Amino acid sequence: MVADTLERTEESTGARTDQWLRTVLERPWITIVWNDPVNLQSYVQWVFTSYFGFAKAEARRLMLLVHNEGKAVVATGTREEMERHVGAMHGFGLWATLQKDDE
Amino acid sequence: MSAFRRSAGGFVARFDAEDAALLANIARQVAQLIADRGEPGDDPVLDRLLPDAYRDAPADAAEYRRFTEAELADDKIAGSLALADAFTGEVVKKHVTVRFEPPEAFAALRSLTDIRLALATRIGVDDDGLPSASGADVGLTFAIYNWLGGVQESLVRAVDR
Repeated sequence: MVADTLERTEESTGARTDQWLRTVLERPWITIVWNDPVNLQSYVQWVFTSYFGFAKAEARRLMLLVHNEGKAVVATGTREEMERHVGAMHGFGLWATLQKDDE
Repeated sequence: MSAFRRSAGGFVARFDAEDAALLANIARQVAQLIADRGEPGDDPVLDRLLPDAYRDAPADAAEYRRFTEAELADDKIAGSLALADAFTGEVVKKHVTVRFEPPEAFAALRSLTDIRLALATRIGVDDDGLPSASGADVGLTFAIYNWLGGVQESLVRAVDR
């Protein structure tokens, strides 16, 4: 019964259901920024505010997390979004990778 | 150098002409290095400037690189050359005045990062911020790297106020 409903939904809404399944049911993807000894704290904070639009306090919190813990998750979402963020971070010279959450 | 300061909507600093020429020279060399790049793994500097997007997933990393590396590399080359041009101004009384409009200042911050990453990787700057490589040029390179850090810090502070 449920399977029938799902199947019909799948047929009727197609791509939208597909997107919903990916973002809701699957574990999300995350963007991680890793610490490096070169990038200035002030610069990393500026990247987080200017690119992600974080408030200064949040950008500073994440920057310190990178600095003190060695890494910080700076974004969560679909794989495509995370690939875009990682590309942007590489443009800024930050060392960033993406992966599935809790992998 | 004088620290970068806001001036008429832009950011301005005055540099010793020799220092400005040195920075421009390094920026052009980094652009050339990126333009002449080989395969990943050939040069740790390029591996740091154009890093893998996936850890422990070589196939995903290679696929991502196939679609993105050329554009990222071209952006970095263009940025380094623009940075070099900005530091190649008219010499007046042994000094060069460098001026950035806001978008150029943002790009300059990225390119300053790239040339600092290149120097730091070459001399093996470690987690303590000290060079681990040995050799005759390491001390000089480290001094230039630190000086570039001061230049960048000054521009970040002027931009992020």
